[in-house]
Amino acid sequence: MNIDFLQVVTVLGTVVCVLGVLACLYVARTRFDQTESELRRISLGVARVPALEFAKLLAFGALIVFPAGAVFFANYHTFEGVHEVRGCAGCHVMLPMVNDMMDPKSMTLAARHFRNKWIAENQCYHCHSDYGLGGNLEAKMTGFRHLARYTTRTYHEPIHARVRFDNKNCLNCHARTPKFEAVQSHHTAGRKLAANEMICLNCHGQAHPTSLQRTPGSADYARLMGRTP
Amino acid sequence: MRLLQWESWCAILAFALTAFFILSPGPYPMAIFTFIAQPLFAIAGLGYIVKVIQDVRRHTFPAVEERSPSVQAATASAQQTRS
Repeated sequence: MNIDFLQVVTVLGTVVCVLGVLACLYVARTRFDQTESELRRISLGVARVPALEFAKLLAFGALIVFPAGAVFFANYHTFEGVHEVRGCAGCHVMLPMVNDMMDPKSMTLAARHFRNKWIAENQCYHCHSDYGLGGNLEAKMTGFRHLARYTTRTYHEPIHARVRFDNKNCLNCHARTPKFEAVQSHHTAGRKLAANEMICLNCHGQAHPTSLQRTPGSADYARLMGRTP
Repeated sequence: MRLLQWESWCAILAFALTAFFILSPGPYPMAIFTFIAQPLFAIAGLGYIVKVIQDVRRHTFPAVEERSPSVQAATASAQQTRS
């Protein structure tokens, strides 16, 4: 049986949430000022503890420990989920990029990388590892802003990236490979590429469909918005 | 007195929303978890911490009527001596 790590997190997260709800229900019904509850004892199997002390301990678990666990598992789910292509395709504004990438006839850079399996998995994340919820703190804040704007529908199509694409995303894989080193212009423009004064796409073409193609009503829009399998 | 009632219901709602996101991930459940469930957990946790601090202070510096009879007598005699 092949169990995915994400499935383990899903099960653990659900268990923590269920335990948290049960503990909270107990705490909500507990009368902490009743003196008889101080005298009553609860058996925990290995020890008998006063009911009031048990309720206080459970309140700490229900309102601090279980929520911390649930938030940890859910955030793990968030930050692992955004690595997957289907995580990106979950938002319909990203469908043109994802559908184009999976189109065997497309000649965009993303499609060529996908078709030739130059990147084995998590193709979106590999080239955009510094952007959105998978990146650094600033990128995560941008990701949360995108999430807020998407779910409140306060965006306009076609969407535009507000940040400049960092060449490091390409150079992480391509720099110092024999094929890369064999091209003279890479050495000539090396300093500019490293400083992001010139971007890889200047010579290597469009990475994704153009803004015009992604504009609602355009000839390519319906094709690009087709749902991914 | 049910001291932690609204905190518990806040946490229950937050747990339900978190479980919904974990079981069916997507942009809307993610937004609900991020912008509603997490703040609810924080509010419930803060409410709990405030109640704990109040409880600790009440036990450390109890009001005169809540003190034990011997402490009450000692406090009264000390006040009489001072006056």
